[in-house]
Amino acid sequence: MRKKEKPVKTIGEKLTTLFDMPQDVVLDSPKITVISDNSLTIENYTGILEYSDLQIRIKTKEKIVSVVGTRLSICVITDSYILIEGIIELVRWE
Amino acid sequence: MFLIKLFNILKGYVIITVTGLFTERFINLCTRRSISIWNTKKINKNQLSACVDVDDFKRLRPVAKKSYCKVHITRKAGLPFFLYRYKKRKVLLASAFISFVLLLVLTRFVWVINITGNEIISTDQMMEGLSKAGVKTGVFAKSIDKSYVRNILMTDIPELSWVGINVKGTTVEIDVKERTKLPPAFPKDSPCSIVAKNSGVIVRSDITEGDELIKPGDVVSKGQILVSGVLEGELSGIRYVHSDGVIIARTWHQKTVQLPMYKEIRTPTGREKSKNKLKIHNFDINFYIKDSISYENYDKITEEKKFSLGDNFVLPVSIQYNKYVEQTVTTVEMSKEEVLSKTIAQMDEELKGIEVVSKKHVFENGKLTVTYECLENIIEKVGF
Repeated sequence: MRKKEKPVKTIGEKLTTLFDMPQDVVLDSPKITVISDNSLTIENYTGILEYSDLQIRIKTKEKIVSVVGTRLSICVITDSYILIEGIIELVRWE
Repeated sequence: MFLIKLFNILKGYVIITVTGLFTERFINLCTRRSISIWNTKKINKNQLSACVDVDDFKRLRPVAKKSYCKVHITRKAGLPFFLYRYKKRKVLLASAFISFVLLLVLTRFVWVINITGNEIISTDQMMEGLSKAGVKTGVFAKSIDKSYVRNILMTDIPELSWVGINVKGTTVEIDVKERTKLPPAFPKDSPCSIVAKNSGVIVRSDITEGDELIKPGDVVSKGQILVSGVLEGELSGIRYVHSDGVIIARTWHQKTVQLPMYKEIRTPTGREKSKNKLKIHNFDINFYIKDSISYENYDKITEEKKFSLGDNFVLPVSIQYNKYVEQTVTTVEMSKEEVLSKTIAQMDEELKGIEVVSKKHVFENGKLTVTYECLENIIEKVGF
């Protein structure tokens, strides 16, 4: 059996939870909003790793977000914001 | 989102195809250099289509070079490109501009005047008064001073009691309330007598002022003095008063009609002509050559169709359809019932507002006599 990993919190995370501050604003943590199954926005991303109409992988500060679905397309893209439209089946942290 | 789309269309954008192995890198580099691209779509593994601003397109070259991609323009979209296509067609551009300006200018003027609510006052009379006050077709809509027009109309046409003026686009709507016509009132403070307006038998009288000369049951003839305004007292001497009161009398109104009466019956023969014309304000363009009509008797049916933008902006252009339908006129003798009902209708119109007790009619010696027995107030004030 695999040993249970203990969640490790950084100092920044501890501070933000202590002072009740929004993590996505203070620490630039990624924020994902999914509306129904047809649109998804990611704030605070760093780059696109893979782009096809079945899967989009996006790099954020901490981990990689993988969006799986059909007919996916990036409708809006700015330096800190991505809007993905299409039929979303799965959103996964890698 | 909609505003952004509109802005993009106004500014103009190009739809590009990016071909290369590293299209993801291409997008990353674009965002890094704040080149706004949108509506990206992966066509196949090596191809990507996207929209880019016109101004940013030049900045794509180093990006494409760095990500080993090739950029092609598939389509140019937006207003600047659309206008560029028509740049050489100067006449088209000029006429579009002129028509736009004409439309703007023409909708500033008054083209239709609607008058509602007038019964006694004829529409022509109203139009005359309006044109005197500066409201007519072809006048600048903003120049209409409502209170001035109202003053002019109220002083010109005494039958008006209220005028409402609404300017809606190119139509001026004039709503009119008329005074109910009263008999010219005798001045309240000047002395007068009362005479009979009609002959009849006095039923009852209620005199508030003056010397009553009659009593119920008296037969009076037209013009006879009923109440005298001259009072003679033993102490006060002669006084003149303003006589007033109500005198109800039984009166008879008669109408005699010579028989037989004839009427005209018009039947269409089936032949008809139509003469249409295009009207531009006061200028007519006829769609026919001969102006005269060969028919002896005809009915003219006119229908006008006005061009308008929406409900309020009526343009000064209209098509007038004139239809001339030939008629045969035959004279037919009216039946007795028809003559009677016609005469009664006339009498009813004449004796409007008077209480009618009974109606009688007699056919005699080729004549019809209709008699109405009425109860009416026969007061008429007459000064000395």
